Amino acid sequence: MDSLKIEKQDTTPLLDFNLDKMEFILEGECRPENGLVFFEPVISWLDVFIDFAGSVELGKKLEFHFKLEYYNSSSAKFIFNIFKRLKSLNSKGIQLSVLWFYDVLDEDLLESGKEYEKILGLKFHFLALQN
Amino acid sequence: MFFYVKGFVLRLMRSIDSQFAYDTHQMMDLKSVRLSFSGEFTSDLVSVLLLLAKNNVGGRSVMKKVYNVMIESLENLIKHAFFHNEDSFPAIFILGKDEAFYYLATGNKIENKKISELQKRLEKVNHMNRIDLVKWYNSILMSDQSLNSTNGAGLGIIDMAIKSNNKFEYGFHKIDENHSFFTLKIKIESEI
Repeated sequence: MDSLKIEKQDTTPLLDFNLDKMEFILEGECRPENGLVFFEPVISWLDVFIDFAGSVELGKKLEFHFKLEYYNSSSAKFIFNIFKRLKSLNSKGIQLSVLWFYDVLDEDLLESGKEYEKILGLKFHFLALQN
Repeated sequence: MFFYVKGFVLRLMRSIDSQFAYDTHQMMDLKSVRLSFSGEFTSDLVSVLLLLAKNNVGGRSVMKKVYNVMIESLENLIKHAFFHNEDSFPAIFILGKDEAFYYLATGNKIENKKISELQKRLEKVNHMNRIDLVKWYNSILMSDQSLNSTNGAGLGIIDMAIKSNNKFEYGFHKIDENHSFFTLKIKIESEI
């Protein structure tokens, strides 16, 4: 199985899901006009990855670096679904740690992270960026 | 009312005289308009407006909020433009500032038959406190509703209410039997 990398564009973020490092990064702004076009291939890739994770030798730890500065409301549900899938890795013996980065002056982004944490029942590490 | 009149005038007056430019300028000055656009909204235009707004809003904290709400409101204008392609009635976006608030105002043409549902939703949002809005938002996020929705599953309007932390002001101005001009004003405290 190959890693998944999508370069940053005007309205979509850098997505770098690297299987060698077992490090997933989502970074930049995410405001695609149609969330489905951007996220559907990502969700499909994750579904394959989750099947794969149980059967083949992979690192036992996965770090997810959530570094979106902004995401629009049509991305929110997809992001929730990405987290939901990653959460299911626990049952495959892979330990997930989520690093939620936010601008220290962006209270809304911190609050959104705390809400995701709560409704997903996951523990996030919050990292304030000073700039 | 001004929005509607402006759109109407733009439509009917092909030749714009200098008095018109002066009046518009005075009106925008009076209302402390920082940024505005009237016409057809496209995603390229939205990127430009967002860039301009970044340089027009002081303070990173409030800028983040304005920026977030602005994206959602501009996306609504694009979506609307798409549905009325055959009929290019101009939409409008305004970013302004008064003593205590930044405000974002939008106007776009809608079908009268969609008014009651929209009005219900806006009223529901306006009557909720922040905690209930967040709960509502989360329940939509977690619902099994399919992912194929391009309208953000109705999250946009709730998201704007949570971030603005103020009540929406809105109005419907009749254009003809089947259409109205919908105006929405969202306020954000300029000192956070």
